[in-house]
Amino acid sequence: MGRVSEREFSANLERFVASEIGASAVATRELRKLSGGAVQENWAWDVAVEGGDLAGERKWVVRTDRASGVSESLTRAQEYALLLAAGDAGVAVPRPVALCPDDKATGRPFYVMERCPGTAAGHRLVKDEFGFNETLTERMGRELAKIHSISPPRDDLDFLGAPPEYAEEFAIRKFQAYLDELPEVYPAIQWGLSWADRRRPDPSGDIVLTHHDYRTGNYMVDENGLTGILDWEFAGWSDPHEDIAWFCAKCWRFGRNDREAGGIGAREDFYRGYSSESGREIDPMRVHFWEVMAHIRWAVIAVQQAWRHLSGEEPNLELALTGRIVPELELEILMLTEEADEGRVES
Amino acid sequence: MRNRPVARDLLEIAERVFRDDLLPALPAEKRYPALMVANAIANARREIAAGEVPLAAELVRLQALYPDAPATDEALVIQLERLNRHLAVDIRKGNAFIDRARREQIRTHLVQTAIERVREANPKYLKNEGLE
Repeated sequence: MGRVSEREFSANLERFVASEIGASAVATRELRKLSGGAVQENWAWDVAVEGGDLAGERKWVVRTDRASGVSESLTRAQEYALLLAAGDAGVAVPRPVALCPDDKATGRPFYVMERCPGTAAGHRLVKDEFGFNETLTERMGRELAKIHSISPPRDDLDFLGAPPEYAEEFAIRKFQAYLDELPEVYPAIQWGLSWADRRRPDPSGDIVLTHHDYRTGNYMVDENGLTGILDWEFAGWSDPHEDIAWFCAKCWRFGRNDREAGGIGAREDFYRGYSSESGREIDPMRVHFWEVMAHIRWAVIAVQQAWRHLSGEEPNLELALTGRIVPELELEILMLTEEADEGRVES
Repeated sequence: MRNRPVARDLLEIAERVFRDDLLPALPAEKRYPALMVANAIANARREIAAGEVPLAAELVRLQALYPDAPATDEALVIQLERLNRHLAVDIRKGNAFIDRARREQIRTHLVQTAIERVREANPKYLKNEGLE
């Protein structure tokens, strides 16, 4: 844990949360660190709550900052505000329990939320163990549409900044700037960005709350279906097609390339769920543009993660191996831009 | 000549012992980091096996793209770095898209380079994509 021992950490959590939720006591049954999370640390926290509205046995998650984060990620307090906003819009999200926005209680900002049952593991979900992936695919479209029902301006989400007037141009500039900051050149990623710059669609004027990491691996599923959408730290204002493309991008299909919607189902099922909930028509040309951008974005993030390891800032095998994914993404960028140049994606 | 077994032989047998003997004996929560270790060993083994062949091929293609660049006797990686910087700037400025032939030559080079790297990083991907 660094500054405090694990026992001290759980005692501090117990005191803070008990007072926040109006309980007479919170007692830790078990506190264990969960794997994964390149930006945050997640702890599974089983507790017995005495008194107050939440009295009883509870299974929670504590989410804290890690030593180093990536540049575009939100703070825990901002993430908490997003969970509240998404919950109000009817999105399936873990119910927020308590927030500590500063270092006072445990030495780091953190929040506590209910733990969604099931698994988020992409390689398991694409196997369709429960046999309901067709329904799940449509449901994921509907949930995304609910997220996109949140539109600016929103006082509670003012930390997201002013919405971009031209989301496509904004994204191209952002990733060009990231690419320019890297210690080495990546001609294939540059190829993708230059293609995007020449082929960018006109501004749609439709700017909504975008999750920005809405994909298989970031939502929980149990035997009854979807239990919650996680990982809100990259959310922002953008064109809705950006999230649709991220969900469908080949790099998030966990090897099931035949199921274009997140490796779990058919693109048309996902689109149908999305359109029936939102009333929006999905523009295939915009989705294609954002799919190219999705691979560019993941490639740039993968290079950044590799350099967090290489620089000595955070020696870590997972970060190192992420750097070895980059050529696959480059290849996909080259294939996607060729298809569009050959006119095979007209519609 | 290096003493046999060479690095590649050692990594190959180390990977096999790790996968066959150690991995099954590890508790479930150590499986993911263990698989990452096996993946790292396999990546290093393939990179060492390929040697400088893909780098030399990349340089030949880059020199064909920039025939006027002065020939040097600098190390391979230094030459590659300089020519790749040229290429990235050209693509960014739009010089790569001036005519179809130039565009195709550059794209073919980029695809080839990416394929050579994926072959070391994740050869299964190329098979699944029908690229090998």
